[in-house]
Amino acid sequence: MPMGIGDGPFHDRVEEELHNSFMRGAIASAQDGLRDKKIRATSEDPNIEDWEEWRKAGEEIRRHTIENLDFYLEQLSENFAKRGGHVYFAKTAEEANRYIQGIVQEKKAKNIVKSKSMVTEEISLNQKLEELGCNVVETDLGEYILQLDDHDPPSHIVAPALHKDKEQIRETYESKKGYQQSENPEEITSFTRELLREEFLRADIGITGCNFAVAETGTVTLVTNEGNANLCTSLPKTQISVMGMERIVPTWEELDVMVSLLSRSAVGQKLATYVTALTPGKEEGEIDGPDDFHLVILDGGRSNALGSEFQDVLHCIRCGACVNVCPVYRHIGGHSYGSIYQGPIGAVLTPILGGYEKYKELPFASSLCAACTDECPVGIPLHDLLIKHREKIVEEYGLTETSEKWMMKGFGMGTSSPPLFRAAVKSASTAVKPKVGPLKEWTKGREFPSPAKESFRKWLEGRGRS
Amino acid sequence: MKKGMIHNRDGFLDSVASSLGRTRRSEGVTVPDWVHRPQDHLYSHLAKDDVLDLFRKACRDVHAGLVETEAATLHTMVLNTIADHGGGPIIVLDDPNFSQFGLEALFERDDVYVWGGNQSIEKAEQANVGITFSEAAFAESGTVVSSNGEGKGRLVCMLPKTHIAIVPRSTIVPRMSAFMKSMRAKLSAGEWLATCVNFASGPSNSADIELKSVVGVHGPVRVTYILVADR
Repeated sequence: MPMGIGDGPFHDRVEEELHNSFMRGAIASAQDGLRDKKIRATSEDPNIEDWEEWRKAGEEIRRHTIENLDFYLEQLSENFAKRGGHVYFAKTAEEANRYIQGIVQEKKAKNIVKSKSMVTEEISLNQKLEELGCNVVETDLGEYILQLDDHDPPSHIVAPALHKDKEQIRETYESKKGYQQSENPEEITSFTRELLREEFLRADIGITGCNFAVAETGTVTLVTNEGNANLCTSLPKTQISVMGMERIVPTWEELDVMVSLLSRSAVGQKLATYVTALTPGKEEGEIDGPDDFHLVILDGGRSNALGSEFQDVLHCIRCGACVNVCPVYRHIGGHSYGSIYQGPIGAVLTPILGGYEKYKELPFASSLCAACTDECPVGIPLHDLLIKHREKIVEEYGLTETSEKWMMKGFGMGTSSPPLFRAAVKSASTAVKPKVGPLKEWTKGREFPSPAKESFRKWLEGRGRS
Repeated sequence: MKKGMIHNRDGFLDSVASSLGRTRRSEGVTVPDWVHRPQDHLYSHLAKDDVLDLFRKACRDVHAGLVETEAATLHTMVLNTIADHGGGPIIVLDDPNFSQFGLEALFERDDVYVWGGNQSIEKAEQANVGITFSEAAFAESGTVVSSNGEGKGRLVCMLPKTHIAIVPRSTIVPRMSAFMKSMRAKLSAGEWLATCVNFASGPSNSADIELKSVVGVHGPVRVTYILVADR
């Protein structure tokens, strides 16, 4: 699927999701769980001493890297190619897909296994490969579950199938794969292990994303808990890794810091179970691993942020920590955002990659509580960037609702004219009622106090006289 | 080694530089002396025994079994551990460490296949147990490191249901930072970087179904480290 998910206006999607009580319960408890895990692995882990120091290190590394992105991408490509790998710089999704389709056709590949990669979803790669008649199998458990369920879109960066309960998953497995066992997660997982093991063994091509490329050696680093990335990159004869152009570190020493930040922030682990650093250059006696290794480096709209006030969003390491503390995400869930990137990072990044026309509501889906900024392991000022988006959207599009425009105009008139202001204050207690008129949406889920019968000024005047 | 192809680089990177409001940088950029280096001084106060304790605790946290032995009894410990995990078939790396640590008898067993022949992948898939020597281990996270190469397949520790990693005590360092430094020094001296450097911490797992943690997904279902005092 592409970056955008679903059609229909934002408010309709939100309305629908608000009624999904399983999803809301699942998201609330997932947020609490993931947030607690992060706290225990970061600010409450005495062994790492000073979590804030780690965050500053992360920010420093990302800032230097993005400011010199052209240099490090050149170094990466040189070192990757020196080892016999092939690099394709793709400005757009179309270019990336065309190149990858070309490899598939050249290799006459039929069976493809993929490890989790948000960037390949952005470019709708699976669809493009299926058009060539390929069997494309997602091997990350969460992604596999969604793929089986007729390509249900992900609802969380790290735990994409969060919105599904085990009974729903069991039903999907039964109808699609003839699964006869229980809804017990161990049994479903064990069944999946056997199914996907067959896919790994017969795959012609393994496609991955890239958590961090290392410029100094031309290395692609993958971070998983399941081991699927290892199998995707050891069994098939061809490997294609797709990376967002910003997913890069200068050397292995920065890789250490970034992988530590990512593992602790995303899943509360000191290190993810498998951190696997892959470099081209298969030697004579090597039996496993790919003969051909391709790296596709995608811009896909990321350069819209470069040199702009949004540049810091490119520091993101896709840990999901911001999503796990967002009160808005907690209530509306991932699908409401209409993007594979949800929560605060989704609200900042999606309009940059996909434009304001389609995504102008997202920056407004925030209470600006700044919990996201506090959580971000690399210090991205997410709530500031949301405000900047809002300013630009209002400049470019004017106020989004006609009613809002009229309200602002009316407010402006009423407050700049003393007789109008006095009349408004006098009539407030009778005119302002919750649940109707301008306050209808606001008071759907909130109480609103009725204005007092006597205005403060009148009361003060009365006091003065007595 | 024949250089690979690079497509569309100049146009792409020229445009990156121009978005950044400057001309392209192809040289002259060095990694700064970072102001913030939290990883440098961690664990420097720990004595060797404390580092081992840290490792023991981390193994528990990542659900890796841990048994400890002296070099003289390593062979027996390996056999016992294999038996605990249900026995063969077994696949091992073609790694000189095995004979250096007195384990050559393993290679003679009927149910042991040594990685390297053309049945290697098939044997790894059929194996119940895969045995490797780790080249380094991180105490903080219960991690074992292995680099692949001739005779050292990536799949020996990934395909079988059980992975047994033999960890010589001297290879344990507090955390990843020391390893990265020493690796970079070796690379600067011209050493070849393995096509796959794998940092593995315990058995494979996932929490993708209702966030309930399940151990044993695509990689090993069970992992045991055999910590051996050096000879």
